[in-house]
Amino acid sequence: MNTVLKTFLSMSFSGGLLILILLLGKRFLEEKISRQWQYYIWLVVILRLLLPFGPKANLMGKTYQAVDQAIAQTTPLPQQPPSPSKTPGGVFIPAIGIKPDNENENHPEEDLITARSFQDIATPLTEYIWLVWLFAALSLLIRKVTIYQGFIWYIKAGLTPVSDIERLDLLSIAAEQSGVKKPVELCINPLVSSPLLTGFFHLCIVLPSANIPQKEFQYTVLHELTHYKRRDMFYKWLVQITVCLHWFNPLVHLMSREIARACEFSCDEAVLVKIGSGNEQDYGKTLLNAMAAVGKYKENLGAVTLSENKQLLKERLGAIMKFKKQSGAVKILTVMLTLFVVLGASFVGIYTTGQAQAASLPNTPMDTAGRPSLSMDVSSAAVNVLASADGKLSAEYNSDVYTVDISEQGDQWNISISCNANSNTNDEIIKLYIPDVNYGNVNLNVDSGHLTCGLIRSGNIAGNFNMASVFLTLPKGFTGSVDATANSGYFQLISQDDFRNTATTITDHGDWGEIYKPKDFKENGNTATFTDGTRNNVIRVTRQGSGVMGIYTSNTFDTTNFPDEWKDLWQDEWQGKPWEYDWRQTTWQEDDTPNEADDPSVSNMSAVSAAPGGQPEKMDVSFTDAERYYETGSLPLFQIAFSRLDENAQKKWLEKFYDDGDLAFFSVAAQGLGGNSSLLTDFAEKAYADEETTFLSILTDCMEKAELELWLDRALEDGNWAFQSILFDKLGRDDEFDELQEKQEKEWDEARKAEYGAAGVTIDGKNYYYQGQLVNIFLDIVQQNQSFHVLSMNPKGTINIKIVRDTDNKITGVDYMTEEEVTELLGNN
Amino acid sequence: MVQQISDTELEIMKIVWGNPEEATLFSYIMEGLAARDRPCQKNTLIVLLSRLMNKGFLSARKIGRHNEYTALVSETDYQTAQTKNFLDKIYEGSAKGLVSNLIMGDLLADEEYEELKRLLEKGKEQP
Repeated sequence: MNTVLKTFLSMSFSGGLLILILLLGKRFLEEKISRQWQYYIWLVVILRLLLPFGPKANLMGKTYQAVDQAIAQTTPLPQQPPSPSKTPGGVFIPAIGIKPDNENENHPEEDLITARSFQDIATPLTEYIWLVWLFAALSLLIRKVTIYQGFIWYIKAGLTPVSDIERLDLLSIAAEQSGVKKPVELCINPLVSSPLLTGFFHLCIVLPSANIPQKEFQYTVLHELTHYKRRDMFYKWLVQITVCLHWFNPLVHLMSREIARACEFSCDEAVLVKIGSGNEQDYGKTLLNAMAAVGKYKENLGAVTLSENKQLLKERLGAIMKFKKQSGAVKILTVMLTLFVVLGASFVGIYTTGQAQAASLPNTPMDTAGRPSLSMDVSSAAVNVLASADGKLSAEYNSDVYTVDISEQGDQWNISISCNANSNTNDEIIKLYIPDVNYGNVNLNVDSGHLTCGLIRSGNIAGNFNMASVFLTLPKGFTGSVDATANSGYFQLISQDDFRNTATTITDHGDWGEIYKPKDFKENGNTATFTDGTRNNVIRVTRQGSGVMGIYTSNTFDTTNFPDEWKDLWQDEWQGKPWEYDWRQTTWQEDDTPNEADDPSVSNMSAVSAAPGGQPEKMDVSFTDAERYYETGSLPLFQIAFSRLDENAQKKWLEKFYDDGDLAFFSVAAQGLGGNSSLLTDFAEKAYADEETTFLSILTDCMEKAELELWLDRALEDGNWAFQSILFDKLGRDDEFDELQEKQEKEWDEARKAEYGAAGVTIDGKNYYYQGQLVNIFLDIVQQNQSFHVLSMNPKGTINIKIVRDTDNKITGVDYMTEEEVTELLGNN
Repeated sequence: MVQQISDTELEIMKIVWGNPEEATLFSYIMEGLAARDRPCQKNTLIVLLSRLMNKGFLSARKIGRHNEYTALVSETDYQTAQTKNFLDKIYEGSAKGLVSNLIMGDLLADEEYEELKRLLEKGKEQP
C-alpha cells in the first residue's frame, strides 16, 4: 500500500482514538472544566490528525507492525528451504527441484500462483487508492470554499452600513474592551438570520437588524468580537480542512460538530467573564432573540455566527446560567488533563514512514528457484575467485601443491580445495573461475587459507572462516543474504552499494582483536546493526576468537578511515600487492611451530629481519610478520602475529620492548600472551624487581584474580607502596588501599613527630616550635629511596630553621637558616 | 458618479473640505466632529473614513503612524451631484420647477433673489 496513505490512515486512526477519549471524557467533565479548555484541547487532536510526526515507539507503530506481519504471514509466499550450510560434512540437500520434507513447503508452486494472482489484483487497487482519497479530499475542500464564497456574496449583496454613530461608538467600545485593534465594520443585512462575523482581515459584523436594544447589541457585538479575538475563523477553517482530508473518518465529522459546539460555549464563557456576573440572564435573552429568525441560509460554514441551532442554544443557555469561575482544584485538574491528552496524542503516534518502508514485505526470502548452489571448501590454500569466461567451473593451480576437486551434480556445484600434505609453500595461488550468475545457496568454508571473492551478486552466502583471511565483496545491487562467522584471522566485507536494502548485524563474540565498521552502524553491546530500505538482504557477521574484521561501505573503504597504524600497512601491504603477502600470516600451521623454535635464525633477532615484501623462509613466516608489523607500527596486527609466535620468540620480543621501554608494543604483546603464559609471571617478576611500575601495571592487566592477589600479598609484605596501589586498583579494592594509606600516613606522621621532638623541635598542630620560639620557615630534606622534603611556613614565626641529616638520613641537629638559604628557597618558590 | 453618503459621513467630508490644508489628519477630523458636537469613538471614525474611501470620496496616505486624508470629490462637485439627484428625484430633472418653487415658496431672501437674478443674466451672457 502507498506509504503516504498508510501513514495518513494511521494518523486518522490515532486521531480517532483521541476523539473517542475526549468525547467520553466530556461526558464526565463537561460542566467542571473550563469551556475554553474543552474548545482548545481539540487542537491537540487536530495536530495529531494533520502532522505525521511522533515519537519512534508508539502505539500506532506497534499496531501497524503487527498488522503488517499478519499480512506478510497470510500472504502465502514460499518459504526458503533450510540453508544447506547447516548440514555438516559437505552433504548437501539439493535446494531446488526436490521438495524437502517440510510442512510449509507442501505446495509451494500453487501457493506461489495464488499469492501472485492475489497480488496482481490487489496491487493496482492499493496502489491507486490514495488517488481516490486525494480526489475526494480536494473536491470536498473546493466545495466548502465555494459554498463559503457564495454565502459571502449573498451577504454582501444586501449589505447596508450602519451610520448610527451611537451604535458605532458602542461597537468601538466593545472592540476596545475585547482588545481588537483592527477597525471593525458594522453592517446590516436583513437576509441573515442571526448576527455573524465575516472576513479574516477586513472584519465586518453583520446584524439582521439594527433595531435591537442597546444591551443586546452590546452583547452581540462582544460575542462576535470575542470570536475574532480568538481567531475562531482560522480554527473553523482548520477543522474544515481536517474534515476534508479525513472525510472517510466519521469520528472526525463528529469532532467537527463537537468543536463548533465547544466554540460557542467557550465564546459564551469568555463573554460572560467580560460582562461580569449578574448579566447572564440578559445575555441569555440576547441569544434567544438572535435565534428568532434562524434558518434562512446555511450560514454555519466559515462565518462565525452567534447561534447555530436550537438544541445547541438550549444547552448554551443552560451553561450560561450555570457559569461560575473556576476553582484552583479545577485548574490543576485541567493542567493534568491537558498533559494527559497531549501525551496521549504523542503516544498513540502514527505509523512512521521509516517503519512503513521496512514493512513493505519485510525479510522476504529470496526466491532461489532454478539457481545453482555453490559450495566451496578451502583448506590451507590461497584462492582467488574470478569470473569464468565460458560459464563453467574451472581452476588454475599447481597440482604439486594443491588438490582441487570440482564436481557438478545438477544445480549443486561443489568445489573442494586442499593442500597436499607437507608440501604447502603457500606461494601458489589458485585461480578459481566461476560463472557470473545468480546463485542460490553459496557455502564458503575456509580453514587456514585465503579467499578473495567479489563475484557473487546474488545468493544466500553462508561463510565459515577459521584462521583464514577472507576478502568478500558484495557487488552493486547484491541480493540475497550473508551469514558469516570468522573465527580468528582477518575477514573483510565490503558492500559496494553501502548495505542498501539490508538488515545488517555485526556480532562480536571474539576476544582480542577489533572490528572496523561504518560510522552509521548502531552499536548496542557487542552487536552493531544497520538497516536500510526493504531490509530484504539480511547480513549477519560474527567475529569469534581473535582477529580483525573490517566491514566497509564502498566509500568508507579507503585508508582514511583506518586507524593511523593501519594506513601505512594498507598502503604498503595490501593496497599495492593485494593479498599475496597477506595470506601467509593466516596460513600458518601448527606443525610449523616446533621447527621455527629450532630454527637457529630465530634466536637472533636481526637475522630474521627480512625486508617487507621479500620472500621470507617458510618456517618463520609469523616471526617476520611480527617483525613487519612492528616496523610499520601496526599494533593490532602485531598482536595477532605475536600470539602465533612460540614462547622463545615471544620472550625475545618482550625483552626488546621491556629494554626499549616501548610500552605500547609491550602492552599489546602482553595481551597476546594468553592468561597462563609463564612469560607473564617471568616478566612480572622482572618488573617487580626493577620497580618498573608501568610494566607491572600492564602485566597485571592480563593476570587472573588469584595471581593478582598473590602479588598483592607480596607487595604488602614488602611494603611496596606503588605496587600495592596498582594491585588494589586492579582488584577493585581501592577503598582498602585508601584506608591503608591513611593509616600509613598517620603512622608516618607520628614517627616524624617523634623524630623532630628528639631534635628539639615540637609540633603543635601546624605550628613548629624550636627552643620555645615559633618557627617561620621549617625545612627538612630527606634523601631516602624517594627523596622528599617537608616545608612548613608560618608568617607569625620569628625564626627560620632546617633539619640537618647525615648520609643515613639520621637527624644530627637543627640549624638556623642563613639569609642566602632563605632567599634561595623563596626564590625557587 | 458621486455616491450617496450618510449624514455622519457628510459631516466628516465637510470637515475635510473646510480644512484649508490639502491633507487632513485623523486627529483634525476627530476634533472637528467634537467641535460640531458630534463626538465619536476612534474605531467609529476609522470605519466611517474607510467607508468614505470605498465610496471614492477620500484617499488616504500613510505618514508614519498617521493617515492623511485628501478629498477626491470637491464640495462643489458633491453639491452639484446632490442637486442633480435632488432635481431628478423631486422635479424630474426640471430646474425651473425648483427655482419657481424657491421663489413661490418665499424661500429666498431679497438679497439672495437679487444675486440669483444677476447670476442668471451673467450665465446667459457667457456662451
